[in-house]
Amino acid sequence: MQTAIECTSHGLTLRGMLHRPVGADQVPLVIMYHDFMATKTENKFIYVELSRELEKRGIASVRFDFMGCGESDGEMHQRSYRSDLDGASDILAYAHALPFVDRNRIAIVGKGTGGMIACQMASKVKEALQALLLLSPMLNCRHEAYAEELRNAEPEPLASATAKVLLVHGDQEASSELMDRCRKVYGDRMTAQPIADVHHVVETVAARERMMEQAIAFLTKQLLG
Amino acid sequence: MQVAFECVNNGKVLRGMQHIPDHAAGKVPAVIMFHGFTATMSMMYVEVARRLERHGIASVRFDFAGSGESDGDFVDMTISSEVSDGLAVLDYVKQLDYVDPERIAIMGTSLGGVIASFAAGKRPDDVRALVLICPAFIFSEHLRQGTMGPTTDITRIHETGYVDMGGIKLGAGFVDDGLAWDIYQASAPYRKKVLLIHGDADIDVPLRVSEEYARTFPDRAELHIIPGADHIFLNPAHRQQLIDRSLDFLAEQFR
Repeated sequence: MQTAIECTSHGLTLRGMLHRPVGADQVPLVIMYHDFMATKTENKFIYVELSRELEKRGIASVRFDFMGCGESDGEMHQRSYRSDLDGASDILAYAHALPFVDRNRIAIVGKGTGGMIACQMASKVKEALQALLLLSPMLNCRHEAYAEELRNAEPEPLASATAKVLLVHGDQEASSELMDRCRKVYGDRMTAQPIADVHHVVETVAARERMMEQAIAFLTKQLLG
Repeated sequence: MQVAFECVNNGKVLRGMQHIPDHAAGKVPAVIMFHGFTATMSMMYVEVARRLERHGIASVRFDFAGSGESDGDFVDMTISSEVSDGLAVLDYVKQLDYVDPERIAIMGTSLGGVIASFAAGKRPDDVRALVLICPAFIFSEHLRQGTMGPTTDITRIHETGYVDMGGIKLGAGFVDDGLAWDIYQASAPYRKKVLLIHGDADIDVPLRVSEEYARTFPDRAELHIIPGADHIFLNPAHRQQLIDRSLDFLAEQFR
């Protein structure tokens, strides 16, 4: 079941969507963070599709618009990497407190600039983290100050012994900086999955379908065993 | 105040947002917003809705079935399905206790502008005013010449059932359905005022499309051209101009 939800960050209302498998209790949870210029539906609604596919498999998910984006309060010009990071933490706290969530089975997803946010949140989840999924992660965006803060951020080692990282990207993608940094930190816990002939994972229907298959297989394996 | 809502059409849940002006005395006028092709109710409309709310005008935005947060698959989306969704939301808005049903306007952007014009043509008595922002009436010309947009080839769409619009499937049903619509015949029954807003630097839907619409319906249509504006009004100054002009027009039509 899909329900509109709200949480508060820096006194502003963030708006999002919750997908909860009907009738199930103590379900695993996926939290999705969107790209700099995107919203909680993500490019060509891939996050909506991912949420629905996960729900069918008994996995809950939560997607929010960052402050100043989509439906959330605030102005775009007030936004910074720091405000997104704070928002991401508040979203995490909100999701963690949902009574039907199994707090030992959490996965984090990030696309584009949301990739680094996802890395930061993954280390906050500590032992409960089972999966970190990065989709065409980027350390660049059109907002120079934001991009600079982003480039100065570093992923941290995973506290959880069972967590795995999957990075899906187009093999024509220009920036692989974050991928290199992740590989250094996550080592053999991470698998990079290139998709042939595209610049990003949503460029063509074929690329999108491959990305979606890999994302669902990875998240279900890590969260449901 | 911004509140999420749901309404069901053809068994699918449409999800949206309403903006209800605070401290309103009595029922308020409302604007329903129709988003464009592969777009969502968010983006520019959030800004427009917040501005209208400050001026005592409610607004209701939603995602068409198959787009954004609403149920359904994009591949099943057609002009007819979107007109049907739009009318379902119109019915929903008409019965909202804070809305004056005599003062409901529709605003549509790009393909949403087409849908708005067709929906008003089906319910001329229920719609008080129309705002069409760079309406994509060129779809008809494009489909006849075998493309979606200026370049995507659709001549073999029945072999695969869809064409790839950059990672999302446009279904063959869209083409068959789209070819059956006569733009001006479908729009004609609505006789109240229409404001067209179009940038002269729009390369997705050229300005001549709105010029032709205004020439076809000279009694009701007014065209406001924004010099230098593109299809998505990326420049904040262009966007402000669009919002200012829409607000003036709506306030006048709601009087």
